[in-house]
Amino acid sequence: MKLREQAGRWLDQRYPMSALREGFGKQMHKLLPSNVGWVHTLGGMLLFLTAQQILTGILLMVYYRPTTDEAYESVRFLMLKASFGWLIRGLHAWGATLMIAVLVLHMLRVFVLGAFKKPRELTWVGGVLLFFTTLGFGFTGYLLPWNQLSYWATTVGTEVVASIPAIGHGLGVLVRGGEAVGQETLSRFYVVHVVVLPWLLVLLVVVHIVMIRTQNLASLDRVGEELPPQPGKGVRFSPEHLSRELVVFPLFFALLVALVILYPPDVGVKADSTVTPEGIKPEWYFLPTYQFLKYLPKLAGLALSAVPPALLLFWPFLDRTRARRPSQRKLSVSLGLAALFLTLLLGFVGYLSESDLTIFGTHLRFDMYGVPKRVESGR
Amino acid sequence: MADEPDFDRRQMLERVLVAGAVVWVAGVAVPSAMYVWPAGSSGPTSKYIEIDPESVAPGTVRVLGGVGKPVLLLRLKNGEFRAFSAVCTHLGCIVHWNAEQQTIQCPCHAGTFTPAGLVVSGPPPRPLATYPTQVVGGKLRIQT
Repeated sequence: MKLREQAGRWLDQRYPMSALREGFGKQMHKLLPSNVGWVHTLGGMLLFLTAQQILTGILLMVYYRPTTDEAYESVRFLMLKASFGWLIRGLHAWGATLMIAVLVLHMLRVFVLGAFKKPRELTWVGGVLLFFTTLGFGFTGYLLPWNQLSYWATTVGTEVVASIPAIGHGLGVLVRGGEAVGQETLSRFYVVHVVVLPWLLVLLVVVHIVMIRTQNLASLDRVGEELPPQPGKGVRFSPEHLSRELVVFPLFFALLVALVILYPPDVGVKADSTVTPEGIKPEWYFLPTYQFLKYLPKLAGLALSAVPPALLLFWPFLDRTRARRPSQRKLSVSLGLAALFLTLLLGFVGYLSESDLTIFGTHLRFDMYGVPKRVESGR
Repeated sequence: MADEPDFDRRQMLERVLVAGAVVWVAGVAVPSAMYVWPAGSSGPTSKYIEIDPESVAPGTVRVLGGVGKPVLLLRLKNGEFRAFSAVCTHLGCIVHWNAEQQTIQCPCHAGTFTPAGLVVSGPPPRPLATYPTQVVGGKLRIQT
């Protein structure tokens, strides 16, 4: 204790520690609007997942080798030989999946409760950019184990990029580092995944948090009629909201570890550029786009698939009504939920497409459009 | 009497600093952008593969990798060779030969091609690229 006091005094004599302590304490005891509840803990979980992905990512880099000859073997090695390698990779892979899922739920909360409206439009835009950055992590990270699934999903994904009129071919070459997915692609994806995107993510997260802390969380009052939370009516960040986070966190972490143990990520078969396996698919969060592109001619599909991300990004500037309560924004909330339902449906059909399923003894084969056809036994 | 300058020394200094920063950013950005453009993308494109023609039995196919993009070499029952790019023209998956239906098929989105590489059904926008073949010194040469 004496040592701590001495260290504190030593720092006080050199830096404005009391001002820093005061600022930190102010943030910790900040009064939040009274509507802040359990659904507001999703942001905290995302912060935890970000930290966990960075930590597990650094640990994976200890063994991972980003070359086409060694990438697959190094992932196998760390899974099978390195102590707790299976756990580290499992946490990273499932952490990525949960990050997307929690991000979607977090954005859904912000959307339904009208928290994206004035004066928080840019906080929403920053959040959507964080969502796109996370998808970028998913796309680049998927290739790194260099297995058949990741190789061919990346081939198809980069071919979609190369299909963009006029600039597509050049963009495809730039992304892949050549005409086909190979060592250059792996090197590029690795650099983007472990250096470029993490810095971008940290920058966006810091800006996002500063914006939230400066403007406070949104209440349910109409735009322009928001009043600062009143003492005795609001929710204090610490201890009230923080205790909610501390209840959700162990449950969330238990779910994550259970998923890692029950459904450990597969290493698959090593990438082979001469054989495309049947039924290759992207990660689940790209399935809706993947399926959507099948129903339309290539160019029309590409043009239309750019519409939902653009709508998402600019939504605060399109929906400029003043009400925040979902009960007073029935059209806007219905549109959003319908879009979410359509996305989930497309993803589900994409998941089923080009696969076989047996339901109550009936064998079904789903074609590329997701249309089931009965398959006679013995065929 | 001389005209008063439009801006003072402080403003002049600010402008020089801004201009210098722009020049510096451009000076770094242009070489960086050129650096990330793939160095090998404009290299030689015309290559050939040589194999023993007897290694492909009539009515069968071989997928040849190693040099550039994979090649699908089809030997018809009459002994004639046909070589195609094995890369589907839709989204780049590797096609394979369906001996039962005598068609070339893509495993990704069910694109189907004739033994001449023409599109029968599915989303591929173009026929498969064909490569000329010739026997040189007892070897089958495929010009890719």
